[in-house]
Amino acid sequence: MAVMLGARWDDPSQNARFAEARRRGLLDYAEVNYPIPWKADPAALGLPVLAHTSSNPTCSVHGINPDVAELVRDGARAADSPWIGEHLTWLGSADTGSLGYQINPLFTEDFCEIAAENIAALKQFYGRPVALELGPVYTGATKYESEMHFLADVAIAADTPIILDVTHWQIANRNLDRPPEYGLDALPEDRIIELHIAGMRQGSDGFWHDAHQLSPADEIFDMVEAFARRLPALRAVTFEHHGSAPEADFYAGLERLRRFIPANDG
Amino acid sequence: MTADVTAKDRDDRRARLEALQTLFVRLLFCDETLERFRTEPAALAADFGLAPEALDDLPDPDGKQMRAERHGRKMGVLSELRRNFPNTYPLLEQAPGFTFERFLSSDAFFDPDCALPHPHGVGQGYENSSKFFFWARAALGLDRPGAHAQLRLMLCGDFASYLIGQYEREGFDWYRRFSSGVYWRETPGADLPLMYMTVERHFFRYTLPEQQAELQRMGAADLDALTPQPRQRRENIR
Repeated sequence: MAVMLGARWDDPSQNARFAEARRRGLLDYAEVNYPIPWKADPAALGLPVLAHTSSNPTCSVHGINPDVAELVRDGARAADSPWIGEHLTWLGSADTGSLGYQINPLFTEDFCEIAAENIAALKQFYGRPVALELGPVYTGATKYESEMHFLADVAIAADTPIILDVTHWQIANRNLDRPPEYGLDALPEDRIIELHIAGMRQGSDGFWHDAHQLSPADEIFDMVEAFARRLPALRAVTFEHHGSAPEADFYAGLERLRRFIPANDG
Repeated sequence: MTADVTAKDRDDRRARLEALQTLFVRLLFCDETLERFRTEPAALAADFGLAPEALDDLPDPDGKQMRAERHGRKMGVLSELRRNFPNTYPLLEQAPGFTFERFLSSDAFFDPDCALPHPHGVGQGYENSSKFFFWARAALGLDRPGAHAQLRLMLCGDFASYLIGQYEREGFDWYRRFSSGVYWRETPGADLPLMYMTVERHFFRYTLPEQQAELQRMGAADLDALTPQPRQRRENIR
């Protein structure tokens, strides 16, 4: 099955650049990050929608706030999204809410089991597949070989596909002093259904961070190209680029990806 | 009998994991908790209802990775607060009794019940600005007679502008209550004068009872009466 090229959409401020990218034949879909601003309508983009969220703490022992899950489910249902992307994450210590950027769980067997249980319940609630993604990692696993092994085990236990965020993966390898290829062999390749690509930056303390306002590095593009050519189950490649970042960079990033992800004509 | 034991084991395990999650999240933000982890780990574990060996699941508190992660997370919160309290924050940094770490160590920071609903309609605790407003108002005595006048003015003004902004961005329906502007008392405990911010961010000082009545008639929101909103509790998915 052909691989599709898309971009992450967070709010209507991105509509104009999405319309232009679509006109140029650079977008096959929009990956909508739910929950979206109140009354915003991604259908106005005129593109197929892949539903995604980073607002469900899938690894939390408290489970998942149904108010958020309902908004995600309803958005995915309205768009008939083939799957819903979810992060393996906590958002805080309470039974709801978020303290800010996603918090990686403790990578232990206990929380692997909790995550698998939560994801199984969420799949049932959504009535459609869930694909799992890791955030960038700063602090290594304490009771697991690595976060990549944790992801693989949750995906297998909950029988889900995987989203490999190539940028997050490379950030983790740099922050944990591991070689670039580390962890890939832990993932069952036939479960990798989607790739994410974005920019990254190095902080003054030497640690690397996700940076959607920047263009991806050449080596990240190269990795995505290699994956796009060989991963057997790959269906989608999503470019994550912030709506306030230079518009020209958005088109340039998509054009570079389009060179090896031919347009889907439906 | 076996079923009872199994249920108890499950409950005990869940309680242990809740405590571990709570402790690790605290460690990421709260300097006091981190210091206790370094100096008296067994006592810290006991306070969270954990056996000392449970701390083996946690990362090295002095590792460079943990330092970097803690720094990044704190900067994320600070960035949100500086963005939404642009006039207040520079003053706060010089205010006696205030440190940013004090907010990050407070129960209010971790508690969604100390917040307003998020404009996207997902419920309480998905932003830190409202938690910060309620915490600062109480912790710095800005809701009591004798409050630091300039600090109170800035804190209320910044937050009023934030609330109106959520209404303007078509935040979910709860934010319509700020559609006629926001007012607060110049001095806590005294009905007048009132400070009033319109939706256009025009700012007035009202001294007359009839002006106060007019604000109430037009439906302006009373910031002094605003408190964290009770949640509609539903069972989580798990």
